[in-house]
Amino acid sequence: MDRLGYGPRPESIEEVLDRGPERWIKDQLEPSTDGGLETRLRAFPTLSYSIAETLTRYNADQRSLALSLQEFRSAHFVRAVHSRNQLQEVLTDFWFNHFNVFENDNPTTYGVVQYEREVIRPHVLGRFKDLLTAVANSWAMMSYLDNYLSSARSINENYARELMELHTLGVDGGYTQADVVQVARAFTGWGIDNRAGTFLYRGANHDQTAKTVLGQTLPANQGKKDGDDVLEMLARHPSTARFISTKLCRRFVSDTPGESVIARGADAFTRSEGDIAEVMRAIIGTADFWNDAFGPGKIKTPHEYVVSALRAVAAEVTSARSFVEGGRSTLTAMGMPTYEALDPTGWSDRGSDWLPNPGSHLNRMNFALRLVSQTLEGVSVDLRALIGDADPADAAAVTAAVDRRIFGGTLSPDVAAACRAVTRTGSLLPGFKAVGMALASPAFQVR
Amino acid sequence: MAFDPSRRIFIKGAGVAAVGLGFAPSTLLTRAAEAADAGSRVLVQVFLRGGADGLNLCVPYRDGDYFALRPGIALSTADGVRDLDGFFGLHPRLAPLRDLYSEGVLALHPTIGNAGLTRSHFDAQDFMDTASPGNKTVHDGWLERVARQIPGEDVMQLVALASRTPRAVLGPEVQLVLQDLASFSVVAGSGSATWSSEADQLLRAAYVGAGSAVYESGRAVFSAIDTIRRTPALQAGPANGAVYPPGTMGSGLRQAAQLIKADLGTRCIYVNVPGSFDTHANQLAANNAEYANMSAALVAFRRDLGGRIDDVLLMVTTEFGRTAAQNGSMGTDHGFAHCGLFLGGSVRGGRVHGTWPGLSRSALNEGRDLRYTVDFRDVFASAARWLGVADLGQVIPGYTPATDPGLFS
Repeated sequence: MDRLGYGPRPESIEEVLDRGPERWIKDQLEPSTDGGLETRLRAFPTLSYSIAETLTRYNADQRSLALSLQEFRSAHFVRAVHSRNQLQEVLTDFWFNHFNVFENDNPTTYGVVQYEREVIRPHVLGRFKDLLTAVANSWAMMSYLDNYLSSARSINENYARELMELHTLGVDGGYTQADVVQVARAFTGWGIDNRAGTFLYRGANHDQTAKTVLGQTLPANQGKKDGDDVLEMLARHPSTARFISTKLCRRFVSDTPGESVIARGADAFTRSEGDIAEVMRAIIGTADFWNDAFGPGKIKTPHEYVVSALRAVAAEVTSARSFVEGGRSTLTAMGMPTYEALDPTGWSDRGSDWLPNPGSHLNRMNFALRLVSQTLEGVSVDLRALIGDADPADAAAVTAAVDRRIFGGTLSPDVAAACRAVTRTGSLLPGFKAVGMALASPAFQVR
Repeated sequence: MAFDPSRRIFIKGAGVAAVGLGFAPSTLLTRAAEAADAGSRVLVQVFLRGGADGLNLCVPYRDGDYFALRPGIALSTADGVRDLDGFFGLHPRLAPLRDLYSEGVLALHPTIGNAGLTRSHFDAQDFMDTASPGNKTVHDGWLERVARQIPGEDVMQLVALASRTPRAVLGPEVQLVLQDLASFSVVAGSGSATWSSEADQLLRAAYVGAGSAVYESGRAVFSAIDTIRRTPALQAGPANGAVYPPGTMGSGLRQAAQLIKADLGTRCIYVNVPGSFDTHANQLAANNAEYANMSAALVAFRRDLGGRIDDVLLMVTTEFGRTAAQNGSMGTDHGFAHCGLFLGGSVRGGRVHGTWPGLSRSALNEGRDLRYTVDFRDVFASAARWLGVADLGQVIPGYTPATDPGLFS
């Protein structure tokens, strides 16, 4: 659950054990409607706005944009913390990051909510080609990587380069600078309609001459089809299969996945014509996936850390402001402000890029302590769900419950001793303190 | 960027604690000696976020085009512009800096820039922080690369006073990012429910083991907490009667001075200053507030450091300057060349550096912006060389610095 999701909620380990891990994995790969989550998300009406509606509201009142982005961020955590379809949430985060756009870039910003909702989310377990195409046609990517500024007279290579380097082939995937220029020419004319907030192809801006991409010829006068052909070509390319498999393995297996698991994923990608669920099944089916899960663990990103802590204490989240924006011991202070990765590369998916960093690490510790002290606005903690019948004043009993339900019985003696050693001084019950210790400890920094 | 567990993190002056955590004394001594050899120079970079207007900072008050382009916001000696060299003068609220200029520790360069810096705040800031304009494949920060070239593994070697990790310090070198030295501690509960010291003690015990980089990282947290707590210079107030203004720049420079005076092996400090520098409208009021603040902070910093100013080089940078002409809202839009301020004993002070390209229509970039005459990477390279970095290719990859701009000796 640490690997395919954001870590267990207290009740979930028993639930998974009751029904069997195979069944849980199957459910994760075939997500079904989560009514409880849908109800919670109704608190955020701006989530359903179209780009046109967002623009209209912004023109009437500029503050509406900040409000919508705030709801967007809060909803991100409500989903991650509460959704039963954990893998779907992790993959939405993964693919958003893979096809990263920066939330505050202009005019990208008006399209980010729609981008996650309609471009990324529907395809996270679907076909890579569909995902790639949706991204290429999106307002957010069109504007973030400047393709809407590219025309036959003056091409902009930004999207073309990142499309091959970051979205598909990988930097060593076998393309040249000449290919970048040819791909940029193929996408001339692909743009956005500023008022309707939709994709718009402008034929007059398209370079109609023939092009050669990766050794294949795109005949003259194909119009918009040039770009579609490039996407098809890239989605089928063996370098893409390998690049995508490597990134998935890095997220789900370890910072340094072995050759065999990468090859298994890449084979599944090619065999299934880019069916992401099939690639996931192949990776989950390897010994590496299960062995690494029981190794020293992969360092959590700040986002994974915060979400897993909220889940561990069965938190009810209604707003993310208190742990995302501004101030100390927030994701911003940990160096990972939600949706604010500036670069097309997104956030690093290597745990070793996040720690060691003493300032950020201290913020993690203090976040855990704030959480159990119940001083986070918009977050309520249900300790009873975690400790069951254990006496909240009995640190040893609470530690045992935490070890069983959050760590699956793997808590190290040092950490368990620190949790049990909390005192009765002060007004916070020892049980809360013990949970805080466990979440701030080294054991909870890895997954 | 894999973390190598053999790279120990330790603190000068906290040797006993480090040995207690299992560090061999011989390693400790070797590292300490290396750090001492590298000298005690400290580079401080202040970054004004938003694109500060250089033309109203280092005012070309004898250039007629300046007044023609900015009829509503140009400043003259009648407004209190303080003459520097007969052509340029300081913004009225920066007048207190004139003494530092006379003393020879302050210099200005009004035309720093780069052709690849875009008009986008985010891109331009990033390109400066990575010192790789136009290249988004460079992820680590230029100051982090500087720190990597400097011997020693002190946990306090590279410090950013910022609310989030600035790109300039990002990378494999341990970077300590914090807003406030005094509150760098474990905080649990508040009021009568406080259990901070209990949490601190128990967490130390929880992080004693070995096993992964996470343990090393956690111990670095407590090393930093202990260093800050045990170093009197970090608790001491400013020296020589210096008074810092409130706000980010004042608190940033106050703490930078504390770190410098404390001799903890700190070599690179980044002070992030978000402020009202993006002056698209009503620029005069915003500049008055920010520049008064900046002036007071720099004067206090210089006074506070006393003789230590000889070991310090402080650079004030921003991502771009602003349009030469005012816009329709008594403000200015995103421009090109920016103005840098340089403070320190090695600064070739008391002068305004660079050649003046002028503000005539033909002299402007795209007919709207002051042109740059020195690449910011040459300034960065020169600062790194001053700090003792020999291999500048490691600091600014893929760039061969041009002639040294001669800002520092």
